[in-house]
Amino acid sequence: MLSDAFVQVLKSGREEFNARFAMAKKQFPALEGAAFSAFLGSRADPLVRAVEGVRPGLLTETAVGAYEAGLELVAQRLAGPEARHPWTDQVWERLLVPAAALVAESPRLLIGALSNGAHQLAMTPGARPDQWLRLMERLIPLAGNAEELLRAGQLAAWRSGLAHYRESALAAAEGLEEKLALTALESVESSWPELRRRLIQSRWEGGGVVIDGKPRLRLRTGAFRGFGGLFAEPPRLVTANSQVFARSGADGWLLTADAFGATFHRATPEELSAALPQVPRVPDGIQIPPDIGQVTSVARLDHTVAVTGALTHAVLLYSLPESTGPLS
Amino acid sequence: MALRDLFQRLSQAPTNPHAAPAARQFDVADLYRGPVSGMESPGADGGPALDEKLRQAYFWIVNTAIISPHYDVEYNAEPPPSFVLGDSKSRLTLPSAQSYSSFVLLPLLTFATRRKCLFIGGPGRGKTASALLMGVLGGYPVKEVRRAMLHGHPQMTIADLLGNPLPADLVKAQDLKDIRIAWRGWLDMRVKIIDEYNRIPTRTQSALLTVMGDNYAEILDHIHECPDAAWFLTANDDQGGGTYQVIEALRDRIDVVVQALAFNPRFLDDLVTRIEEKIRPEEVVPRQIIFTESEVDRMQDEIRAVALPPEARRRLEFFTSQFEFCEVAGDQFEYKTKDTARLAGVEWAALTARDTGRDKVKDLGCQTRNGISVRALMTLIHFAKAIAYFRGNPAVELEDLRQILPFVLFDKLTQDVDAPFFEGSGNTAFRSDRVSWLRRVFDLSCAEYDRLNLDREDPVARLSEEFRLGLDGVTESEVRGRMVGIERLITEWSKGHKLYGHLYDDLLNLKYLHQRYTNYLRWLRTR
Repeated sequence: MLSDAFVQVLKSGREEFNARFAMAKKQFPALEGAAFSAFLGSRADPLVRAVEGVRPGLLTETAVGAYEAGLELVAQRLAGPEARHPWTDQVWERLLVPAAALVAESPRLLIGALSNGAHQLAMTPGARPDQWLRLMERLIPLAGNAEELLRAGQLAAWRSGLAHYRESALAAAEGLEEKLALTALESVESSWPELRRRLIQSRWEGGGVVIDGKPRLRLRTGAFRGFGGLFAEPPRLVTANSQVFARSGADGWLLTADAFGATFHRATPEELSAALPQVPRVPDGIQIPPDIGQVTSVARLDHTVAVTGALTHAVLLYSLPESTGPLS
Repeated sequence: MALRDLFQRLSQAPTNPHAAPAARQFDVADLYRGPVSGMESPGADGGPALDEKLRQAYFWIVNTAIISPHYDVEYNAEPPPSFVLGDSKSRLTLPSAQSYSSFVLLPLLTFATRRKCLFIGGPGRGKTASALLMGVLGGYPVKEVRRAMLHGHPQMTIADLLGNPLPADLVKAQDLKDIRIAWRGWLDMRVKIIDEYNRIPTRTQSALLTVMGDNYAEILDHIHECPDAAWFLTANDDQGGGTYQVIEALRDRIDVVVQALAFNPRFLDDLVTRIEEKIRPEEVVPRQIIFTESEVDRMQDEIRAVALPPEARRRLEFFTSQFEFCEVAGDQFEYKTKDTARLAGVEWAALTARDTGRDKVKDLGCQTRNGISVRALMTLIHFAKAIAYFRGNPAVELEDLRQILPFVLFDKLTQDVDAPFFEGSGNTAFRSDRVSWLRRVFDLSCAEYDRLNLDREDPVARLSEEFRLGLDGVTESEVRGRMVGIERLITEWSKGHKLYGHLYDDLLNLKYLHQRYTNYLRWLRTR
């Protein structure tokens, strides 16, 4: 049962709302009216009610924004009863409703950006959307406006595993309010400028790992395609332009990694053709676990050594002392 | 509040993916882009990436606003599947790379470069609607674009076009400068639309020419400066079938001509939906594809920065050389041009009858009654850069030239329909299909260029390059040697070679070089 306020908004633009649903149905024939109605009732209406409670004057714009964004999401099966993953729905439930006061001021921006952010984390292997949602829940009461929340959200996304955003997230967070930045990074530090300086200095800083000047195994990332990973066969590493690529069969991926996680990005043919293997010699001080079998490839950068083995589809990532700069 | 929904959904960037840079960069701003539309794509300088925005505008129009697009601007990454159909052996190709609809692409490039586009085609084919969309892309409300659109009609006066002197001032004024003018609002718009321009009376067309050509309007000695603008004109019939003949100077100011192709009835269902749901595309243009004035300024700068590599430029030079030369039009070498004959009013049939000795099928110059003007060439270069920019490339490719050329030269290169070429097997359709004809002529020109092996053996290019290095410090004996080289080359060419357009231009170029060396030699002697 929709709230009276939402019903009023929908009634006032009934013809136009119907036209838009018809267009969506044309583009996405699988879109069902029942699924969209269910979404409006379970996700959009609580948001409209929450906004009515805090900023009743901005209710119409929020309701329209919720209808539009919801239609796009449900049509693509990213929200509602047929959703391919739960994270977008959780954004509406766990973030948008508590952030109603911020949403009311910028409904299109916040509804769209947060839904898209959750979707991106959900679609990136190795990323942790649940962690991002948890961090965002903590950030909402601290943010003074939508822009602050979104900037802190970028930092939180990096913290939740999107390692490829490391440099730009650090750049974007310069000048961010201290409590927001530290919360976004789940840090117990007291100084954001100091933490930021150290994060810039070392890509293996953060994540609660000891930096002791010795090479250490930090991550095992990547898996067999049959178990939900990317690789059809054990990968081999190649490098180009200070970037590491993992080849598996005819496919290849750019690997980015730091203390917060590792992500793979499909490489272009140009990138792969420019990349070359290194001599598979393990640098001194690196302990290779016996379960990976014989080392098949090694990629060494200034800050990281990546290793693959004959008996695993994973890539092992070791931090090197004084590790700075990008892995990618 | 304007609503946003799937109808306003944009194609996701990148719309035309290219090779990644040497070291791939990621931007955390991309975190918030995704299935819900409306999140902006940041450019390198923090503003929107305008080529991507232009492509998004294109794909929105093609996928949403236009019901049945035709992909007639064909690009291929590899040899495309091709099929021969029907008694006339019509060829249908399925392009293997991203291809485009000229009816959308050309107006969009016109908008991006602020030039002038003429839509032609029968009534009710979407010419005016497309022009209207360009106005909306320029940031104007639909109502304002509609109101500012000029509709050509036989009674249109200069006052209708430009504005009126205030009646009170007309009575009271002691001097012309005391008369205030109420200028028409469209003059200040950056997207100008003139519907059915060939219904405007000739005198009014002349006033329009001043605005189109020189960007100002004049009434009673008062001048109104107009901003740079993209112009969109429509005509139901481009062949002079309007109420008034369009004056040649006005036609010449039009940069590209694009034809509204026929509606494919297989898309009738979409038309039904549009009627039933009361959907008017121009009223739901997504705000993300609306360009600000400064964005269009920036886009123009970026388009100008696209390179035209020498390899492509040389082929354009060779193509252009084919058309102006007319051996029998003059006695002095420089005056052997079609323009000489045209200015003298020589009857075309009599002229071509005298022009003997050359293979009139092989000689591409025999297919036209004129050559290519400097203005047309500048337009061609501008649009070639624009299409390369649109495709996300830093430099113009030969295929860009090939694809854009017919739309620029559509009205500029006049076909000689009596030329023997058009009697040839499979060539008769070129009399009515000027786009295909121009593309074929360009292909033939490139084939000839390859046959002559001009990429590798081009003595004139070599001599010109030598000259471009400068004359500073070049000795008298060196100059003499170069002049002898030029004379030797001309002597060689004079032995039994027939004179074709490209040779004619090369010979004039050699004469230019020889003259510059002659002057330099004279200067050296007087030192």
